[in-house]
Amino acid sequence: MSLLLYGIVEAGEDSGLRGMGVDEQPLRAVREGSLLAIVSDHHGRAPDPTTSALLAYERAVRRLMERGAVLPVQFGSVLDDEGAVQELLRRRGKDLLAQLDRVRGAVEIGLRASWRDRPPASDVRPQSGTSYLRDRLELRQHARRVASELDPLTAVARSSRRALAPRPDLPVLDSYLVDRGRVSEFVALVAQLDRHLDDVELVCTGPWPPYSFAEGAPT
Amino acid sequence: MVSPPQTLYASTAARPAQAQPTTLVDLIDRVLSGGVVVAGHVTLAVADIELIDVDIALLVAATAKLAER
Repeated sequence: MSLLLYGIVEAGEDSGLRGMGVDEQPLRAVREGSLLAIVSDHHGRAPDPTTSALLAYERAVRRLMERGAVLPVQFGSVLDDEGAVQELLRRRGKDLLAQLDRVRGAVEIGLRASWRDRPPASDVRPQSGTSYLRDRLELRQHARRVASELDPLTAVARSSRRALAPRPDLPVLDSYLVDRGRVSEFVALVAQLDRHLDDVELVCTGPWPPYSFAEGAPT
Repeated sequence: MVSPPQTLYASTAARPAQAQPTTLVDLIDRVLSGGVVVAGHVTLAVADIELIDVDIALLVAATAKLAER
């Protein structure tokens, strides 16, 4: 029997540490020092990323966020047993505590800038290598211009991550770490920028647990 | 308290149908490629995936990234 990991939190209140995870397996906490890893029992290797499994996973992590600071763990992280989990927390405890401090009291807001008038990606017809590369270069230049219009948002966020032109229809895909108390201010500023930008539409998603701001080096 | 992930703001209220699937894409992308990376059995079998209007390229790219490690 293995353990599927959901997130890492600090020991404290017990509320929010129960509930169901993937495959209707109950959640529980494995403790090492002041850190708790939230896990559920799992048979064999990593679970298949079905929509229902991913939704159950995300829902469990979101409940942890309602309790307090949480570092989401990447989906599919399976360790052999509680000892292995405790060893992970012991080995990386200092770094994990620092990361928890960085995200405490904040949520992740996603920002998507999409072209208002571009055809959808599926309409792109096959073309020569040169014209493909030229199009990509032009797309990136346009994406950079759009991205520069979003600079005011950094003043309302603790931190941000950016992907430029991740898809032909998306010049910018950002994630922002925003204080809970400033989320409405942030969204209002996005609305203001959206009114100002003619060629792109801005859409926010969230609030998310800080998936994009919980960095862990592979061990 | 904190509300579930949703599309917080859309400039075009006329396109709510488009907003929903893309929020699912945002969720899948975050859960699969974000978060603390833990050594262990993180090999995903992309089998029997039920997808609802999800951008397949995005999902495949995220899982391919994981398979590389």
